[in-house]
Amino acid sequence: MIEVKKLTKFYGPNRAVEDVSFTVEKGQILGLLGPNGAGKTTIMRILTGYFQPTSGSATVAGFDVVEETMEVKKRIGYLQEVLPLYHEMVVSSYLEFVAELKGVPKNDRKKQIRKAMELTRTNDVSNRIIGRLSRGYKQRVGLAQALLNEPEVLILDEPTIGLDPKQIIEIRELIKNMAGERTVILSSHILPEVSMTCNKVVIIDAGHIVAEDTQEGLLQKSEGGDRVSVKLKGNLTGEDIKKEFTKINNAGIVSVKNEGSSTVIEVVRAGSIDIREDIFRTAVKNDWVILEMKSAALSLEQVFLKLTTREE
Amino acid sequence: MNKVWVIAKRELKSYFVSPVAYVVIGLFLLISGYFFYVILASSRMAEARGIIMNMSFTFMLMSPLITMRLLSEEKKLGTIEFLFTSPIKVSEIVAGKYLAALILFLAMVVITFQYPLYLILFGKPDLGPIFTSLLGFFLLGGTYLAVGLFASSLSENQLISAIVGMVVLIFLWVIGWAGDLIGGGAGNFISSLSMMNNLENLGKGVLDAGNIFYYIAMIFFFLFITVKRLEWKRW
Repeated sequence: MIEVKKLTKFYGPNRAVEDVSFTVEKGQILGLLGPNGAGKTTIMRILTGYFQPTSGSATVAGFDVVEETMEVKKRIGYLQEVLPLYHEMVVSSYLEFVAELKGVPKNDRKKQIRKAMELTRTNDVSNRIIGRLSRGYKQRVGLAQALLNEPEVLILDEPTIGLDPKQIIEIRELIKNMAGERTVILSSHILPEVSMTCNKVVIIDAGHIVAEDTQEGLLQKSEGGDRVSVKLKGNLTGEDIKKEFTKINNAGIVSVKNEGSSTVIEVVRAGSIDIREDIFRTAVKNDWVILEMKSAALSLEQVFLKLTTREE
Repeated sequence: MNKVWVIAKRELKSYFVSPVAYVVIGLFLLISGYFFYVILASSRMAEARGIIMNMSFTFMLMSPLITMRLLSEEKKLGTIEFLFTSPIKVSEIVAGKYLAALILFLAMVVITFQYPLYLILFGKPDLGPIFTSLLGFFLLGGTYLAVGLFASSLSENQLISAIVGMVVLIFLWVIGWAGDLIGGGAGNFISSLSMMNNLENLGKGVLDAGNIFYYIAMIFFFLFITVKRLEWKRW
């Protein structure tokens, strides 16, 4: 649905994005993740036809963003970071304006506006002046705008920026509901955002892609993956235990630590197979009493930091 | 064409939401009414030449107030990005904005039709020069608005847009003086660019195709460079 090939964009001598390639399949939600200034907005602006790339190419719904810009624009719904709202207008007449601008046929306009307002739950503010709405409602009107003309592709730049936690959850749900059959690209510098809504993640740093995978894939790729920590009864001596646990298939680094009258062992999982059962059997075989066992997933946050933090 | 009207319609609505349109129209009518009365009362001649020149100069100073927000505000609010990512050509956006300002101005001109009406009611004016004067005023105003729209594309600050527009207009108004000074072919050419010189024939009642062409060419030129300016900014 969206194909980006070796995209590069310079602003004068400054490189914003370099050699970026990725694809998004129909129906996927792609999260563009990266710290501020990484080039997320630039990529989106190229996809929407607002900017020309310096080199490389991109297609949206089969149309080239440089050669067939108008066709691309007809098929996307775009929510820019700075909300595209005219503050003096009433919500319903603003949506009417956008529908006309996007060329929604006249007899279809009312229906589509109603649908977009229902989906974004903006019905109750339809007669209010946009400038006087709360930030959360403004965001929703922005989303409603993007839905008009039933676009195949939604491009949402930082859709939850500046919202309070409750509103963030609401908007997140909204995006999931809006997605449906559509292909969605959303950008964020906040991780839970991406980990909760997207099924594919591209991490960008300083204009380059540093990782591209599904969320699970990313977690596994980052060294170590999950770790299991086991607390055994009694103050046991280290070497024996370490040797026993290392024998387990797929176990990585094992560390042993004495904590008062118990021993804590941390086993890092190397592969993708669950090792908890093997840990249990090893303990039983050696007659060790398990007091506690927990598995801690490395969060996307840690992966993100690992990938975007470079040693100076 | 359809999209042009969509833009123009929204723009017209927002003119009347803010007090700008009312203030500009109201003040302009106040001043032009004063000119009409004072000039008529002192000259006792049923003609429009004096008042047209004065109205033209007044509107030259006021027109940037109508055009200053057209593109500057879109830039400031970031809605320009929304327009540029919507399925509409840049030329259609510019044409729509210009059309809105032109319709507002046309409404003003129609209201000033009352002045010739008074002349007809209470005297026997020569109607020819009066109507060519009004035509001249409309074309001239249309040129002001095109220059103002271009000025508005330069900055996201409305005040700067208004000032730049005013300075360019004043310069185009008096450029003829430089032409007189230089003389010869080059001087003639410079004089022919003057907005004031081109209005003089129309004020006298001479309907010269050259003068009309001058205004239309100016309008197209400034709209064209506005489009180029907006497109250039993004590459």
